[in-house]
Amino acid sequence: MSGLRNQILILEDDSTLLNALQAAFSREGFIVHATSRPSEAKEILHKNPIGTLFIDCLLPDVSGVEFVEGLRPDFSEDQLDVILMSGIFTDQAFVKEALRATSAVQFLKKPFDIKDAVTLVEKPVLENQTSSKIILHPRKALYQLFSKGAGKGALREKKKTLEALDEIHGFDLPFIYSLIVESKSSGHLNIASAQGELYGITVSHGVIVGVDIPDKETYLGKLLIDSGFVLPEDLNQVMSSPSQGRKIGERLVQSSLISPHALDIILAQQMNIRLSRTIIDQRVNVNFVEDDVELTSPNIDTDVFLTFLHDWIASKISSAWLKTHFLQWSSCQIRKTPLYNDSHPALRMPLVEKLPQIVEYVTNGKTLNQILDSNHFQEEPLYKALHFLLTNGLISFDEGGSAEASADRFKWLKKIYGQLHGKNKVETFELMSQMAGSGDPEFIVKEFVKILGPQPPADQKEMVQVYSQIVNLAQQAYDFNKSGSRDKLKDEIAKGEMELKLKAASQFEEAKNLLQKSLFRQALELLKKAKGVDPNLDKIRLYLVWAKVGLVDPNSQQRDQAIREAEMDLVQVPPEEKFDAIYHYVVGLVCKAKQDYQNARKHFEKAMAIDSNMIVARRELSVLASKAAQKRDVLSADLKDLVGSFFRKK
Amino acid sequence: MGKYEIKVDKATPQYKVTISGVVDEDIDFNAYSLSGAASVDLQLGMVKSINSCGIREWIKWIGTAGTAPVKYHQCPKIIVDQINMVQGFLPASGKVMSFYVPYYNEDSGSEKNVLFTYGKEFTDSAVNPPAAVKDDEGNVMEMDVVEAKYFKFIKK
Repeated sequence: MSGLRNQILILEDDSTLLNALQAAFSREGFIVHATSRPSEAKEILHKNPIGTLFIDCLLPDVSGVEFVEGLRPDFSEDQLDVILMSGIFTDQAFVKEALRATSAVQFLKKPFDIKDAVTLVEKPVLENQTSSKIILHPRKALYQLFSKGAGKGALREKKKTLEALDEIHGFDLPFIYSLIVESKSSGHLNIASAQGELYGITVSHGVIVGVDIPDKETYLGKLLIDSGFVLPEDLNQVMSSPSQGRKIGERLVQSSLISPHALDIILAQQMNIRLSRTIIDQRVNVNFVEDDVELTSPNIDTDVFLTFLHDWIASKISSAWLKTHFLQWSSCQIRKTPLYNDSHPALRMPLVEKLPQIVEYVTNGKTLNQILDSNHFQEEPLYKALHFLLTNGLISFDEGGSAEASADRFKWLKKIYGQLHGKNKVETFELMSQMAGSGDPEFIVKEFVKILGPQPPADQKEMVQVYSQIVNLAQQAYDFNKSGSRDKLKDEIAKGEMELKLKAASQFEEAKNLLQKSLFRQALELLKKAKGVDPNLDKIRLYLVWAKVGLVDPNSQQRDQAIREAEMDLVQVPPEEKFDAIYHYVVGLVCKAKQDYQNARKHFEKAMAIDSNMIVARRELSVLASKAAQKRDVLSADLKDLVGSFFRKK
Repeated sequence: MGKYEIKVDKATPQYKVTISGVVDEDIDFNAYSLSGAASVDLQLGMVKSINSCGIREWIKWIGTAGTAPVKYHQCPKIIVDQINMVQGFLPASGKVMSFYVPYYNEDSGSEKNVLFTYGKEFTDSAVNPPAAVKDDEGNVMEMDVVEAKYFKFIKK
């Protein structure tokens, strides 16, 4: 028996025994199907992943032995354990022959003790749900750590939970960084991607002092110009002089073009970009090596870390991932942790501040389901705000408030079913593994069923049906994952995706050309299509904002709303894209739409400083210059000339 | 001594290497090529720390042993973690001969590293931990690692 084959079928025409077995196995956490009719039993077997069949040898119409013999071509011994039962045919020769013919694992002579029958079946993973000590999976335990508060015991628990982590998702990394910073750890976090790339973060008493990624781009030049610390021509001059083995920063300091302090600020920004680039949409392995690390500069202290953390969650973590991530806790009460206080700076960051009343909602004992049902917030901003608070350790989910205890469990199960339904088996397994959080298929499936909770009571038929459907989908995905077909399908999906991505890339390029020609509507259509296929296209968010702002009618009533949306989109631009000419150009466009011409000009100038060939930025600067000139003319011109100009033939 | 120390005994083709200290971006393996070795024995009990830059350097360096058998002795936990996580940290021709396993007693808070040796506490496919590990006060200690993660390399 493997995976989550915790479903049992009892085929027995003695209703007393049938009911007794059903009750006993249900108590043990199994999903139990019971019938006295062989035809119905067959149907159940074909529709459900039954792991064990209890069958009476003497049934109406057919003998139990013949029934099982007929099943074996479809249900091998590995798939289905059979336990024969009989009170009449009990002689040694019959038992021996029946066991041989059916490949049954056991023969129970009636009457037997129900407890003996129960011990014959490997207990299902659901059993853990009823044990007094719930052992959380390391990844789930990770997200509960902030609720433990401070103290030596809590510190050790944090350390041990970090040590216990193995394979996690790249989107879990901000939480791990936050935990290391909060617990004032010292040492090295080593991260290995599925492609074999290595990343490393070094911390000294909770201050990040080093980030190592195999980075081809340093971003240093862009950062220096963006900050305004260095002029492009000065940078070019230093770059063209012989380096004599010194880094660009040192050469700038030596040439007195930048102060050591300013360089540290820039290098901290560079670390931010590098950290941001570790937050990837794929599985990674991590380990933490404790070490006495000296506090050095540049570094990222806790205050600066908070703003970086905000940006990563706003820009890097996908909504789809967050939605699945929170599914396991959606029926748990949200509560404040010991770290929560009303003046915490995280509460004043845009992700939280832009959602009025969010703090009241998440700190008064409501569940996520209840908050979603209130329809007070849109899903994406809500998940992001919640995740930001969770990652800062300000809220946690009540361990005790499991799905089982919650009144809205049915709704929760339907949500899970909704997420799984229509997905192929590879996608289903990926989703299960995101919830369960481990690379080992057997472990994933067991952990997933643990998250589902025990089978709902038999009288809640609809809920039992949804529960069984989820378990069936999970079982099918698990079986498929174990078989060789998985890699084949994965390859096919990857090939299909590649073709779609190539198409999306070409749509993206076409959209960029359309934007240059100010054809915003067509560009927006193409950009939306491209983003739908590949949200990771380089700077696609920025081009989307460009197109949206291009369509803003300055005289329309929707202007302010459109600008607010554009500003929110800009919050979600990852740090590595914020030091690019296109970013400043787009921010300039938003400022211009707000009629904030001074800041618009600054941003267009920055865009030009980073990329002197950016024609669109130059064009915008000319437009702004002529606007300024017109304004000046009106104010400073001689009244006679001014009045004359109104009537002058153009 | 600086942050690290590497000693290579090339008196015979069976090279004996001892590494101690910190393995990070400052480590320079260039002077310690392992090419030409018939076999390499590494004593790692004194390695204190390793980061991602050090791991990259390590993989490049250990590759200089080519196909020669490489044996890792007295691996501390931080080395076992890298063996389990990073492809190539233990080369294809490599084998762990002994490694430390942390033990802990929850009541007294005592910690201890117990050396597991090939053929005794572990084999190519199984771990046979000592029947009982006690601290200095005689308290029974428990293994302080997630076994499925820590002993992963044994099934590699």
